[in-house]
Amino acid sequence: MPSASHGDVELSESTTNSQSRALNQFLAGVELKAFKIAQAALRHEDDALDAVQDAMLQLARAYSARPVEEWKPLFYRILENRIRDMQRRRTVRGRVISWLPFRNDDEDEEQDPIALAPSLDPQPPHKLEISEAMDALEKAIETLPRRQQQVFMLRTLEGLDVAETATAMGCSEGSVKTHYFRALQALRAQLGDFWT
Amino acid sequence: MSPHGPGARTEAPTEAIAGEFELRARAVLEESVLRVDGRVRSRLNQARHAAIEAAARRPSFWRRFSLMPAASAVAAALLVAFVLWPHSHQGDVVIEPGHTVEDLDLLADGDALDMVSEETDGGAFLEWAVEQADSNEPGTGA
Repeated sequence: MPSASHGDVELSESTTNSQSRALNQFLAGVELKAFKIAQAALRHEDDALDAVQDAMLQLARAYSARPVEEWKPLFYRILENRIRDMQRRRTVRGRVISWLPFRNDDEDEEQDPIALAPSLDPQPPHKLEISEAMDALEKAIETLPRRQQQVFMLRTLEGLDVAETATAMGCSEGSVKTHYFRALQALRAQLGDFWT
Repeated sequence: MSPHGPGARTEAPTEAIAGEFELRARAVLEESVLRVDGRVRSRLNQARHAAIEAAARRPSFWRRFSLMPAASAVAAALLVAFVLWPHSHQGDVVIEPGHTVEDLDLLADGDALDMVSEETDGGAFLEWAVEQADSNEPGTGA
């Protein structure tokens, strides 16, 4: 007969394994969408990756013991805080760099000529149409105020309901509805006939 | 394309139009997610595994719970030691009636030696004070 402590260890290990599996499944399900949301806000691929990575780590370290149904709003709350921190830091860095006499243009350094080269593969018409729609939508989303952008991405791409979106954004449900309505109006006004 | 005229778009959006717009936007965004390149997918995969490892290294609830009795015992022992410490220390300085004068002399001698050793002139002031007391002439050094 196994001792009580041995039983506790087995229980602990099985709990950890099942938690790891659940966490893996959850993160695999949200990581790409989270990346797109971060990319829309930060407009920089590596910064977006860093933000998602930090959010994953923080969720795993601090909140993995919470019930699984709480993970999604918590994860997006963490991601949103991380995005805001990065935007603030970028603003401060931009101000400092603008005062320096010998500054380099980071964007020029980070341009990858291979990545910028046009693809040689001919795109089928349907794919091309989707690509154009995607570009138009992404550009329109980038022009939205931050809160409208956030609520639109969380509701439309991630499919969070009003309550979950309010938790993720740290605001009231009424505020979520208002921002979402304004975001839809602004996007429709920009995209026009192409979309409706 | 659009079944609605230009004037219809300037009006407040109806539920149907908003719904259609949302559906299309969702489809396009989901398509953009599917087109994320391999480099980004690879980095996200690495980040996910790092996060899962970090969560696994975190002590579980049951393990933390099983350590609670040991932690409580250590805390209780520290508390007892803290409470008893002043009493045992007081016991060391109990003054026995017969040795009071000796103790005071020892303490006084220690202070005097310290004062002499700290003086740079090696106790010249004390010698001068004794001479002054012996000659019994007040006000001569003033």
